[in-house]
Amino acid sequence: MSNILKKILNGIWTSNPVLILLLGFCPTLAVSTTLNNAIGMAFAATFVLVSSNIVISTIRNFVPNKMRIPVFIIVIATFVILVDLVMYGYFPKLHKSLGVFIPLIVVNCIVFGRAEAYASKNKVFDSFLDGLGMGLGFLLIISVLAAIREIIGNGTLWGIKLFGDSYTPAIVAILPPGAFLTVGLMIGGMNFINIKNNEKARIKQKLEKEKVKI
Amino acid sequence: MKDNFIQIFKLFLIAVISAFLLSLVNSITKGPIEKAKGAEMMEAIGNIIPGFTSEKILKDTILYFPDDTFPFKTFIILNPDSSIYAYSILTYTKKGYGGTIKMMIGVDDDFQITGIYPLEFSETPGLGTKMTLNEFKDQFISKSLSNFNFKVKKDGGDIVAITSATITSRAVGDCIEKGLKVLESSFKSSSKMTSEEVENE
Repeated sequence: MSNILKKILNGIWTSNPVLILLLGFCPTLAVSTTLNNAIGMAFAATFVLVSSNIVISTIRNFVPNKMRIPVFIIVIATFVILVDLVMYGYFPKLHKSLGVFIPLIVVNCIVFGRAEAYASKNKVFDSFLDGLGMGLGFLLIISVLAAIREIIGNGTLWGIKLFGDSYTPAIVAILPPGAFLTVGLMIGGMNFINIKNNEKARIKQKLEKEKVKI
Repeated sequence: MKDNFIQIFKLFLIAVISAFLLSLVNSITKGPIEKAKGAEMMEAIGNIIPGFTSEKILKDTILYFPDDTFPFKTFIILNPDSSIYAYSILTYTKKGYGGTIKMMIGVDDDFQITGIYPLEFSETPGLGTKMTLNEFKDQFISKSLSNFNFKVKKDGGDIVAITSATITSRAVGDCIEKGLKVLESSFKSSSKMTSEEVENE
């Protein structure tokens, strides 16, 4: 059980696809202008990630090594078109606001990167967990990023006005530079937390060693 | 050599399976997508033509404009007594920031805009997509080709552009202007068409 949790946590924190692996920046930066869009995008990407991981892991021994990249692309593209069609049919509003970024999941490096680096080498269940963890990690980061950008740049959260009329939103936050700035600060913050944690762990180890010596 | 054939065969097999899967999903979602499109169209007309009720009669026709291959889908909204109540046209522009923008515009029988409704676009979320907000759209209401210059203020026109989305605003102006031109050139001279004439359209 703890193993399963560990694999999922790996995607959410230890090797978070956006902040640590630095993958999938195109949708992360482009769609994180409002929380609503970000969550729609993250769920679509997570679905594609999980299903393509499962399928690629299932057929990993069937696919010749030389052929793996076209095969991965076919599998991923199939799921993306599937999501596109289903979303258009049943959630036309969301489909409209995500626009061109749904088809662009095909070239989302998180999906392709995990297929290549993990699913093509590991068992089906492990790949499923990896996809789920990575998807949740993506969801977490893109939601936080979008919430920050929407609040600062538009004065709203989930479309609800947060401040009075006297608040003038800093429009730079929802422009591309705002995305880069926010994501940069988030990467910095994450590294800061990780370094602090590592230091603490090191000091603890040292103390324990000294205790043993005594 | 044999290896190559096996590889080609495997790739072919996977492509066939995914094509089959896609056609299956397509046949399932085809209905809902058509429905969503139709509902969108009706919602658009309801939105841009005030007083559009179920007793009004809707006639649709396709208009063409010189030097343009785009089929402008046009709706003529008639009163129950067959007099013309309003027009609505699906117009487009290719000058959007993310490519093509398609929108419905509604005009009354004097060719004054009663409302606009963007249908398809791929503008930047949070910026260009602000063209769907009333703050932006309302400036076009009761404007027509004769009393409004469909260019943004920066270019010497009358449109108040969306902050940091000038290209989108410009495109919207272009789009509306085109739609109005098509409508006026097709209907203005015979704007007092009788119902028989409309029938012949």
